[in-house]
Amino acid sequence: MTNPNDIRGTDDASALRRATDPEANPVIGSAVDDPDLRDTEVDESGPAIESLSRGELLRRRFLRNPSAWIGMIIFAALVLMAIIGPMVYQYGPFERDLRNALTGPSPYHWFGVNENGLDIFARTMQGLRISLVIGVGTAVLTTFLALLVGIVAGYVSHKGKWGAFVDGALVNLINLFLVIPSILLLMLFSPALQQASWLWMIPLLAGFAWMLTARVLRAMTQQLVRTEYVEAARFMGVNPIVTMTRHIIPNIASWIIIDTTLGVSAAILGETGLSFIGFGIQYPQVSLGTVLQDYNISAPYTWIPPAVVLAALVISINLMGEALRDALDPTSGSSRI
Amino acid sequence: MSDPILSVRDLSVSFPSEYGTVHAVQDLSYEVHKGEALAIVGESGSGKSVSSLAVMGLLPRTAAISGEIEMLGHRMFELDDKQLSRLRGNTISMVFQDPLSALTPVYRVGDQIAEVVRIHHPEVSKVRARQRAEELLDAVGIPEPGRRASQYPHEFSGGMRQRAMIAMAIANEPELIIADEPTTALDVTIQAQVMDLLKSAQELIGAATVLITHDMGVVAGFADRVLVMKESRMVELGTVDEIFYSPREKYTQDLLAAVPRVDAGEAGASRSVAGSAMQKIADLGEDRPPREELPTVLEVEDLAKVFPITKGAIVRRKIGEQRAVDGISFDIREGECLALVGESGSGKTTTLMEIMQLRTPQEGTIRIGGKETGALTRKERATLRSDITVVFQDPMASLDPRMPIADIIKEPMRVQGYSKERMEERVDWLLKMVGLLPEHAARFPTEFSGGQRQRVGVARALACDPKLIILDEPTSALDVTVQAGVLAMLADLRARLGVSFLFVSHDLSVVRHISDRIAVMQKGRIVELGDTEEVFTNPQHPYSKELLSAVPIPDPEVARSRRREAIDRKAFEGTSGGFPADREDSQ
Repeated sequence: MTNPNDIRGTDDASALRRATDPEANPVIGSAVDDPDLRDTEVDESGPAIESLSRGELLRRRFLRNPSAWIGMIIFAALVLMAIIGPMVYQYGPFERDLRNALTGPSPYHWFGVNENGLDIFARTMQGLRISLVIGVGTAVLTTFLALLVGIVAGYVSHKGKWGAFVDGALVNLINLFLVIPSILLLMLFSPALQQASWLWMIPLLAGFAWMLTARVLRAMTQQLVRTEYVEAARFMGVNPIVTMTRHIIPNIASWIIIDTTLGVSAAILGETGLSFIGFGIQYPQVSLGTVLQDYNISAPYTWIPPAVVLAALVISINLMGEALRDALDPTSGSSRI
Repeated sequence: MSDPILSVRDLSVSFPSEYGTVHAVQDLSYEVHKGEALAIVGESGSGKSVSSLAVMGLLPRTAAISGEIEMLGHRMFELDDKQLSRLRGNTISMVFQDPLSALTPVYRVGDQIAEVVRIHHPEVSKVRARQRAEELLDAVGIPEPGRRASQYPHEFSGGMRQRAMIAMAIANEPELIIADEPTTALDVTIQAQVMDLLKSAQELIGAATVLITHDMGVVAGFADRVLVMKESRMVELGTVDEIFYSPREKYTQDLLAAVPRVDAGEAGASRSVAGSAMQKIADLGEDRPPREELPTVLEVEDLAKVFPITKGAIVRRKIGEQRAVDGISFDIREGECLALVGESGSGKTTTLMEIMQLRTPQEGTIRIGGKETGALTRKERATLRSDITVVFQDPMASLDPRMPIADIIKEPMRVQGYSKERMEERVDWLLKMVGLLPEHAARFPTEFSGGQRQRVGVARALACDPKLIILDEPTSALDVTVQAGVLAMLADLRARLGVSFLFVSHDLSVVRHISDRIAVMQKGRIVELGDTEEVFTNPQHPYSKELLSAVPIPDPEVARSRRREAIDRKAFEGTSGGFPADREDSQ
């Protein structure tokens, strides 16, 4: 009867039920079906507690937060500007108009022209494009690296001698990357890799940004591995990789989403900083950092527009990230970073 | 009758929440008189704890409270925090559920008790307060109180911590002691000692006591009056004999009927739902062939697991070993239920884990269906995973909150490579089997109550037609009425599907009705193994006897006859006598 290959369907169940007849047995009947003795019913009718699904709840909590709206509106506006701006604007980022060099905003040059005769609006929009791509790309890649290292280290750390060894090796790798003076290495590698493609900036920045996230993910995974549902999966013979993707990642997803969102602004700041000191994005590309590099302190229109765009971008992402965190994890409190 | 010490009138407490207002307590009224013990009984979520926190003034700020609580002429809601603090610990004291988190881990136990004395009696010198702490520890039966007073809470066992909490609670001879599930976290033998101690302490200082509990057995031996609560409202209030012998309300009757009785074999079983369900099923299975002829499902022989105790951070030396499981042997036949009973630390869980690993154990052999687990190939082991499954203790923690229950139940089938249609069909069948509706398959675990979740856990364990299900305390996290339902379902499944159970539990009364055979474990060894009826009627080993006599019996007459004096009166009164200096200040 308990042969694992024996196929039973609902018909068999009802046949079996009829055979042993639990309804005729008042006691089992009452334990299973009696509304008094049965566990509290899942409420079908009222506008009850259960009717709100998790996704709906999250959406409501997120949209209730005014900073979510402000962040989304500013971010959407900046993205639209970055896409449409260079398409409709008459000047390119490297077109020189030396006759108008160092002149303020005008109907032809919306943000003015710098001392090299380059149009600041064109450069800011082009820089915004690059900074956005690098910011998002770096954040996603950082999260991916951190997930890989953190979850593997956390998962294997309880699995006997070899697990502890692998975990130790990965933790030491994290520590190694943490003590390396990353800014020096970035300055060393960045100009060389820029020769190939500006996209190299993404793996380069990500390579020095994943460590702390990985440590946190490792700790979270260690906690989850001890829970009974992961244990249950192990006793069912579920493959460890399936366990990680099906049980562990969904349960830390909220933290990952928050961290990735806030990581975008960190990556943008890192990239613009490097570009500003001349080790980031190089000619023939511009980023917000290189636009800022051409500042002239006595002519505010050369540096205020890109600085405002950069600040607006970072602030809008942080506002969205914090609203997301408040929605996903209401107990964290908005005072904490 | 004298004036009441505590009177609660029309108390209502509600909390605002994301989903609307939650009414935790509604229109609760009761009085407690001097020297009286009132028990508030109810299942989880009935509002019993919230009502007592309201008495202590310990509710969070967000709670909306109405009604009135009067304590010795003070209206509790009109007092500010400072005035309340003067009452707390001096006139009212509280014994909490979890003694580990109720004691501050960074202070010595003696200092914490002395602190309680000195806060309310600043005139007492430090040395005297310290001496008093030792006297109190002595009074509650802690050996070597001098040495123990200078230890930290982690050096105390659970029972000793709860004793220290009681010492703290009676330090200032309060008028009212509130005990919130004081023994829920403790083993049954320790529970019996702590309840005896609490009762003696109450009689000694003549305080009124409010005992909050879900366990009818504990109530029977302790309370003078009983208040039954359900879903934030009072159901019934009466003397202990009225409630137990002639309950008026249906809910009280159900609650009493759902309690499994350790003392009742045949006769009392008719009153207990779970018991009589089991009875019916036992009748069905009367014509089973004798045990020896049935095939063996699981065989454990001389199983041992030793953990080394090491010292030193850099150079680890072994300074000893902990024999968590120390050479145990048992076997389970087809369709049989073996109960593994023991208190915490007896090695039950370690045994389970060793079996579920499906690997060569440290010492001894484990055979499943005649095959030794050490000799399995990877593929055989994967297939065997479907023959032996486990149901965990905590239904909240054992189901992944991010998966709908259909996926949870499908998981083991997916591992075994079932086809999609067959999985769908089986999910429906399994949900029906465990008494849930197939329409609920798309819901998430959080949408179910504890008992329903445990049913999902059982459905998952049944998914691949196992030969043996290991039940790791499957009902200890559930309320009694829910527990009765789950137990009846398990017994029903066993009768109909012919699965074997290895039922691990600390609760003898639960095991009595469901198991065929019982193995009593103590300190990693099986001290007694035999048929259920034999072990219950005629226990051989002294430990089995102790375990049996410690189980609380929900019958006031029986419970009263079993009580013992547990407090040291002389030690409490102290060497200098007449302490605390003056009792007038609190009256």
